[in-house]
Amino acid sequence: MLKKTALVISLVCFSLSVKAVTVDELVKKNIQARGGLKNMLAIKSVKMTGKITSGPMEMPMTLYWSRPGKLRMEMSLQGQNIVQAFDGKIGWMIMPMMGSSEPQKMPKDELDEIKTQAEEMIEGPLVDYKKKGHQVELLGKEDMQGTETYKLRIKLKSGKERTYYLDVDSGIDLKTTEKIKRQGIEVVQHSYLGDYQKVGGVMVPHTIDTKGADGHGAQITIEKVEINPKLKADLYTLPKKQEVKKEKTEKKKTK
Amino acid sequence: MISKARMSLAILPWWFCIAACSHTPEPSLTRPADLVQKSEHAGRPTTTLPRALETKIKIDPASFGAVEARAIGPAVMGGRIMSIAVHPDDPKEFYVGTASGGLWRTTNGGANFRPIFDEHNQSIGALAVDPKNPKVLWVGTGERCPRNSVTVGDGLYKSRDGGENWARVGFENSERIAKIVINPRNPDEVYVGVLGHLWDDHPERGVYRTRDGGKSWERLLYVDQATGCIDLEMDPKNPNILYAAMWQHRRSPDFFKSGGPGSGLYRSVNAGKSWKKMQHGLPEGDLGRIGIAVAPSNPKRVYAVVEAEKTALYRSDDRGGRWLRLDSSFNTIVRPFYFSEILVDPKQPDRIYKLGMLLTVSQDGGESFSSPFTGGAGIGNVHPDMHAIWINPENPDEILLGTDGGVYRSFDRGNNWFFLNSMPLAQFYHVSVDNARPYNVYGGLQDNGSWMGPSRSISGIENKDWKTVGMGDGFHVYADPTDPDVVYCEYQGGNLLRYHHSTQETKEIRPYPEQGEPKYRFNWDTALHLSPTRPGSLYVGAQYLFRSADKGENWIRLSDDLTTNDPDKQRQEESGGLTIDNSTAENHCTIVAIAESRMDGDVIWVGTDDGNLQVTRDDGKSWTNVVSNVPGLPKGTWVTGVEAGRFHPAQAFAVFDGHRTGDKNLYVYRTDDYGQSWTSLATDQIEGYARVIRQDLVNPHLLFLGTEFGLYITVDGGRQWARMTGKFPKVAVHDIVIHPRDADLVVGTHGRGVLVLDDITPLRHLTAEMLEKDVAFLPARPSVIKVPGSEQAFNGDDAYVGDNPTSSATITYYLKKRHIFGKLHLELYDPDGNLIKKLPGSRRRGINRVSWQMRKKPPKVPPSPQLAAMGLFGPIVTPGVYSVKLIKGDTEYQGKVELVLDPDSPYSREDRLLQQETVWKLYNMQEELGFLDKTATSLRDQARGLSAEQNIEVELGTRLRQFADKLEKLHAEMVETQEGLLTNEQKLRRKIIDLYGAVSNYGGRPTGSQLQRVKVLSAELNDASKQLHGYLEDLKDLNAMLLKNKLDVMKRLDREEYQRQTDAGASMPGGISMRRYGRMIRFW
Repeated sequence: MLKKTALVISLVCFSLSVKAVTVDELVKKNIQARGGLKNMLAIKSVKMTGKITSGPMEMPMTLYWSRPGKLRMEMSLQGQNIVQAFDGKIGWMIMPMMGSSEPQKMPKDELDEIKTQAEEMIEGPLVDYKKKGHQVELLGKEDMQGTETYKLRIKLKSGKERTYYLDVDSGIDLKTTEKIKRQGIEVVQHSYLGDYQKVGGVMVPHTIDTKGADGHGAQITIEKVEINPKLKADLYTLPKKQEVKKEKTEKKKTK
Repeated sequence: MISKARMSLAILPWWFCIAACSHTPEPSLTRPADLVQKSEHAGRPTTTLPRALETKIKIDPASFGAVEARAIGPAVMGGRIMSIAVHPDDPKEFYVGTASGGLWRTTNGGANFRPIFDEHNQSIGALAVDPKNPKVLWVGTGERCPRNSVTVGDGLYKSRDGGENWARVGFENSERIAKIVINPRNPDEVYVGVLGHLWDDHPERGVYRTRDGGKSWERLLYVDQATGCIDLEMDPKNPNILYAAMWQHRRSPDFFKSGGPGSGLYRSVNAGKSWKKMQHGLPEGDLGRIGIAVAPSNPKRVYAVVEAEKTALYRSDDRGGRWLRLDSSFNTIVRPFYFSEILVDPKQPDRIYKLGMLLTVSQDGGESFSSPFTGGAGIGNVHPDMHAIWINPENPDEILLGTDGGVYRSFDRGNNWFFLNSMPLAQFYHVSVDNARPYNVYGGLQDNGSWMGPSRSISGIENKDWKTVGMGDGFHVYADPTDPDVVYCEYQGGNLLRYHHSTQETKEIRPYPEQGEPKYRFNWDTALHLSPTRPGSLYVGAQYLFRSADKGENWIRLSDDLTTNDPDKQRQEESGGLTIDNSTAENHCTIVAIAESRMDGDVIWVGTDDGNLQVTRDDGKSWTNVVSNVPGLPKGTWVTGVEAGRFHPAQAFAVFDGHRTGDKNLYVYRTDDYGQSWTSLATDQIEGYARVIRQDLVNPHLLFLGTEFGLYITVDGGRQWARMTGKFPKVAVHDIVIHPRDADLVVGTHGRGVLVLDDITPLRHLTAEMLEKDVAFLPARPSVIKVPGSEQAFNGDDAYVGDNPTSSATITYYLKKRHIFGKLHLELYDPDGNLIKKLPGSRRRGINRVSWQMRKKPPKVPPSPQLAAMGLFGPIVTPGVYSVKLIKGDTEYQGKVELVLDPDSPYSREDRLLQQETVWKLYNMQEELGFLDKTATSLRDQARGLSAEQNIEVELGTRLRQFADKLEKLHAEMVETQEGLLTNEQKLRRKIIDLYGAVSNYGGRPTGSQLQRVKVLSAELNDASKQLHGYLEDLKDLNAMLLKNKLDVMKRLDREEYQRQTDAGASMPGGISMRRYGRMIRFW
């Protein structure tokens, strides 16, 4: 009985210590740690260069982003460019290694992903989460690879669920777990964020390790982040078929 | 930084020196060269034993960081299955609860399974899926078939999200939960049949119910402290009617008793408020285990297998009012304590499945049974010993069956079966290794024989890689270190065997009593031990210790009876209770642990199951029982393991285990004086009773402890322990062996097969001094450079593949704290000091490991719509010591990584050098071609652009276009230009890349044809170059004309600038998934 009482007390204490921090306080701390909302909103466009490494493979990568929620990502493979882009409505890609340099529409799963990525690029879903219709729940503290974190569960308006692990000391994001759809089947993806460096007043993770449930994954390394660069207006738009060839040669010219 | 590194070497603890001079079979790879060198100055070990330095740093599972276990299976034989539960609406999603290998889930009909309970107790007694909300799972831990080797559970768990998160909801001390029944009309109402303790009296038993989803429980049926609930059934039409089987049973180390006045079959008609013991027609006298089944299609029909003096199947046609005695054939009455499950076909009340040693089926309501297997008799191709069954309620032809050897599935009512053998559930008793390259792992399994399998195989370690070397229940298995043809193994009760690879014959080699000697007593898990100082000699323990120097042909006895020889503990012939069950499982007063000191072969330690710990210092002439010197150890506690100290003959470690008498405390001790005194190494960081302890071969303070709940490691001689959690489930660890050459820790788990911790060198160096540094490189074993092999196999997703060790070099470092802010990356420099690679770092607290593929950058090849896969990989680097720079914020740390040649490489140095030279020649040709092509296409594009300028002179425009056309033609001769995947277009680009690939893929001398081909292609490349340079003659003229026209001149590509432009390779499938990884890029 004594033991039981002790257990009950410790449980109560545990939940009290967790309850001591509210979701809103944590969200505030997190936004502060990332540089504050003002600095985030001052970012109108971004160009990021880096590489994606997976085992022996390495792909140089460039990402362009502009408000509101437009995104273009290029990866290079044996001198050929893989392009994925989203103009706010249409998601498209060019996959030369699949035997064609014609732009194609993105499959729905991927469209959902790139749309979410484009929308959440700078502020992320925690900023104004209530307004955005997301639900955030604090699950408690958890040891994440030996570092104490707050575990938040966020239910996005779209119905998707994610778990965030925020560093207890700094409030910054250390890990995200989300379920993404592949061929209609849900798979778990973990992202570990690190090497935060301040760019334009905002903390940007310069390394992102991603791991699937099977342990396989890739490492994204950001080498350079440019804030508010001048970007071509049609960067995100689906090229018309005739324009594809022209665009290719033009690109080569600029190289 | 470098001078600091030297300094730390100078103050290395002295035990490193002892470690370095002590003999291991092949010391080459285990320790850094500087340590070995130092050993020359070290003498024989002194009698003073080292003490570990103390550290204030807390050591916890995260301290081991990226050190992770590698599961190698085997899955070929499965393991004991206790329960199967299926999604109510989607039968391709189901759960498998195992006896000691955790809980597994498939969402694809068994194409593959994932473990979903690895952080919790691995013994699953009962499982239930909420019929209304299938995301809600209930798991009762502690298996219900209480054989001698059974483990203990720790309560009932519930998940609300399909097994992602779990909460324990009660019964922490119950040890065993037999059944969970959910009221289908109100899933918050759950009944739990708690079987309870096996070895002692305990009140947490009986039938319990919650009405609030597990928040609170009330006990509905209780008999006494020795009787638990073994089966529980609910009337499918009326949830107020419940049937409960209560079972009185008890085990002790030397005895089992099933049955007693507590047992009985009960019924409640008011949802458990009151119960009535059913007797009408059931046997009189004591009952044993009872299995119940209600016919879903006719709930009046109830069946029960009742263990009694005359065990039989009974049937009631009035919901248990009156019972009729029916079948009592072999499979109905066999081993009732182990098998009493029955199930009625969902649609036919007369069709019953009886699980036993076999599967038998009655089609006449229990009057008679026969085997469903094709042919009508025998055991078919299914592992005997059945414990779990599920029949698809919508399609009763479909059956899932859980046995002692895994899960099977039938689509024809059990006539023919698929084996779902992709779960590594092997229940090892012991493991050992040999010195082959790659080394093999040997071991014996509960009810699944003796096996050997490689630690590495071509495409991962598959079921086909394992070879059976012995039958029955397997225990110790050893390769004879002096004879590659011979493997020693055994089956239960001391049946010792010598297996020969060459003939696949097995010779029985057990010692028999001499005339006048008493009968030899051998344990179920008879101790077998290879002598470390007398190569090829083998020990076996009965109540006496024996040794053979001639492969078991003859044995010498080295002792008198080393056990207590207590006649009260030698009752195995009467063991079993109502049903005699003398399987040797209760053999007692026997030797169960043997350890000869490798420092002094005359020192031998022996532990017995009845609690004696004996040591001889004169090769068996005299023995001392030192167990009474062990403080805090209850008398008669089973000795689970003795480890002779690796650094001093007076040192030893011993672990004891009293769980078979209900004492689940941890007993771990060390002696430094031949057992005169003992120090406890137990701390409250360790969970579970102890099974095995091992001392490292290099660092005497690095100890590995296997308990019922996982693997524990100490780096300071036992002051602080932490559980290994990196891909290491909370599974019982029964044996541990350290590979002397490769420094791998090979762990035999009882439920999850073999788990390997590759290269424990970093753990050897995780000293107090290291732990207190913010950042420190840790030594790792040298990485072997090897041209990868290949195999064509498309085995489907249901084929188990154990992981291979990494083929990359591993850079290892320690971080005191997680790195969050600022950059952290690695730079690699070749032995000449050239920067060859930048690698992203790993940033976690504790040990970090970063892989490097040991390849240079892939060649820069000309762009083409045709992917050239062979050109995606750079050449393999040459052996040597590469330096590593860790850049963390503004600080740099210096480390190194050593690459060595594959010691098995059959190629001469000359041939290897020719191969490398040829690879590099082709590499440079690709780069040269890339530059030529880029020069051509860049000028082509410039010329085309300018020719389209307005107001350009007609002649200049025409000349520019001609110039561009010539370059385009040359480009098309050098590079494939067609789109589409299978064009097989072969231009110079493809020819060079393919030859580069072909020569790279073989570590030896290229063929004469290949060498000739290099010359031919080189000449072609030369021609292309000449051609281009010819065209470039025009450039001067054209530029002069352009200048005249006030237009931009055309610029030739600069080689240096070309090389600077980044490019790299990725394979096509990688390209696809990598483009999805890009989705993770963001600011938060």
